[in-house]
Amino acid sequence: MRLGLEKYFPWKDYTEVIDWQLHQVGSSLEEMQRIGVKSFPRRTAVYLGKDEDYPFPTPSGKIELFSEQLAEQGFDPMPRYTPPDPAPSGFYHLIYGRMPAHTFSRTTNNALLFQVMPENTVWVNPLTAADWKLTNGDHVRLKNQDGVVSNRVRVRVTERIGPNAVFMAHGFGHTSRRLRLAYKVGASDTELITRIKMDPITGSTGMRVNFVTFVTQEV
Amino acid sequence: MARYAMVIDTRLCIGCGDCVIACKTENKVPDGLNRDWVLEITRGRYPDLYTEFRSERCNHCSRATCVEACPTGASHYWEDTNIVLVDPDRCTGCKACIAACPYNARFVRPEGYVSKCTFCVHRVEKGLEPACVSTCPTHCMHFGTLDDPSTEVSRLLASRKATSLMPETGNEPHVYYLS
Amino acid sequence: MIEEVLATARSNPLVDPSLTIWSWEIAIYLFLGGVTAGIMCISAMIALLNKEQQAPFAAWRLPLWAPILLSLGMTTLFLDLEHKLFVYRFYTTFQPAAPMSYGAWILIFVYPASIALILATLRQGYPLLASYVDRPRIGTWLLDWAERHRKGIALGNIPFGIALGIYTGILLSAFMARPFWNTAILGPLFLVSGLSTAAALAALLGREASERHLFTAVDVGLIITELAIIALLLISLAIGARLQLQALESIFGGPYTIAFWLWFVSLGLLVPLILEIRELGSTGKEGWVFLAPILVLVGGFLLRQIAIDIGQDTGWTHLSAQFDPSLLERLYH
Repeated sequence: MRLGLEKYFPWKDYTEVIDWQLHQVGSSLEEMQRIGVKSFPRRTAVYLGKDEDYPFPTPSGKIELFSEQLAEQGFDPMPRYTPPDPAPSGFYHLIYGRMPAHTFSRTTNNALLFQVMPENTVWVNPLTAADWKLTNGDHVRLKNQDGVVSNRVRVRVTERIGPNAVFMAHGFGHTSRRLRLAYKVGASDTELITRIKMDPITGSTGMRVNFVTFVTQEV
Repeated sequence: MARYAMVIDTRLCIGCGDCVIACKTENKVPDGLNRDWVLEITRGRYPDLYTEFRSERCNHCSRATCVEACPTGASHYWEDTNIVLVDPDRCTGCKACIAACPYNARFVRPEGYVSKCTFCVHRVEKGLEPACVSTCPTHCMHFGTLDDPSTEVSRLLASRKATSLMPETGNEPHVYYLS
Repeated sequence: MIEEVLATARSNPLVDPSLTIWSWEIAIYLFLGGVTAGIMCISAMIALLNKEQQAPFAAWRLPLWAPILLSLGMTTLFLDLEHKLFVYRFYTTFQPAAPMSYGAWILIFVYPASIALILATLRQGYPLLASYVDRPRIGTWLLDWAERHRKGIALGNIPFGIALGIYTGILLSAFMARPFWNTAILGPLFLVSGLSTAAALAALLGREASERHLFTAVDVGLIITELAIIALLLISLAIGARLQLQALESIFGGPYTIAFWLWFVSLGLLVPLILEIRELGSTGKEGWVFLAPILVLVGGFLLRQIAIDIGQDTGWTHLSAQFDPSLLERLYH
């Protein structure tokens, strides 16, 4: 109200908002306070039934590998594979991902889950490791193509990553002292992602487009 | 001797460590100590790789060298089964059983006595599965007796290719891995 | 290529990354147990062979050292126990499959045998101490009885001494899970080492030149025997399977190479052997004669310490950590 936006917020307080929202699905705040959980009968099938005809929302009603709609918008009607940019010399594709023990960056300070996976490591192919004279457990920092340098992180030499890339688990390298267990453990992939690419058709973003190199001095 | 076995399908295990958390919470294992753990084994050369996760613990051997090594009888078999337990009131903390275990599955609790996986015998008594088995999100773990051919573990071992860890120790381990 | 790492962090204290359950406490205990065994055998042999004239210290005074050293060893053994209040549990049972159970009972039976030998030699060896024992009538009766049966008591000491000496080795041998230990030859090795260290103790503390000469000669024989047994130990590992070969590698280029060859074999066996052989040839000049027996005693301790360390470093399983185990210490602060 203080922002002068009352025409977008015609309710007295948030209780009214919730009541309004519940009315949209056929309930009310009063009813939900009374019963707590309300079940609705399912209106769509969980799976497609055998021999069932299901039209997709496309002109042909089918999955379209070749799309006239895309062509009308000036896009390639049959999207082609675009290879990723090659890594500059001495740099490696930064591939990040999640490990099953942790949920995003929110659980790395959980005492139980910390005991299962206390840190992330940077996965390095043995060929890359040989080039950089890295062995298991060595500390390195990662520096990306824009000069951002990460917290120190331990090396895991493994065949599970190719020689042109490194991998690290997401969610580590916290900078808050209050996160007593997770503080400054491992490196954060997020801070190394200074560039993103956008898919021109869907608008979704690709963040595995950054390159890193190793800083082996003073770590 | 009645034989209880754990059968773990390595083709379903994703190495999440939920079995480890389940054990820690169910058995109130002190911080920093582990009764179970997960190994990640990768064979091959990039990109032709084969990776397997293996949830490991005490193998509850039916010829357990730890039980043989115990000078006080603190390490013992539970009720004529292969479930190996440690009686804290008989354990002197001499650690002979730790040296005797080829799987390094034992440790000393802060109180001074030796501890290890119990197959959650307090749950097995009530007809329940061990905590790790009941928690496993991919249902890759199974528990039961081998003496009855109709149990799930018996049928899995009869129908799938299974290995136990280092049976050449002669200890007759009873945690099996399906591959 | 095969990579096998822990996917979940594991750092069980004393177990990961390799076993460190036993340290100097057990080394001291095995060493002193061996010396005690040696003392019992040597004192008994002197009595049985009527060599009291030649070796008065070993005959009359050495027996008192046996229970004292053994008690010291049992004290360090007790220090190693993690659940100390329950130590009495060793003696509420007998476990026929457990070498340590035999050991616990052997230790108990060693005491009366050893004390009987002390009583039989006390008046000769420690007249002042004997006078105190002589005061009550039962004391006089005990000393008289023991002196009358000195030969029989001495004969009885030998099996207990041998049992104790062999036990200190077999204790480790019995662990199939630790390849370096898992050979019965550790029993004879530790027994001979125990005899050798006891002979060195007698040579060190004996005042008569004849006694020093006798035990130096005995020790030369024992050290040569010990070297032969060590050769057999290495051979038995070398002709073993992969696990035994890996255990052998720890002293051939591995982390225990220097400790084993330089400290134990060279300084603890070969150097004193050379010194003792020279001493036998010379006229027994004073000065450096104490060096050889001290080296033998140090070598005896090093044998136990190194054997304990190597054995714990060898095994069937080696879990390699993927995550830094020291991070788990954050949980405790």
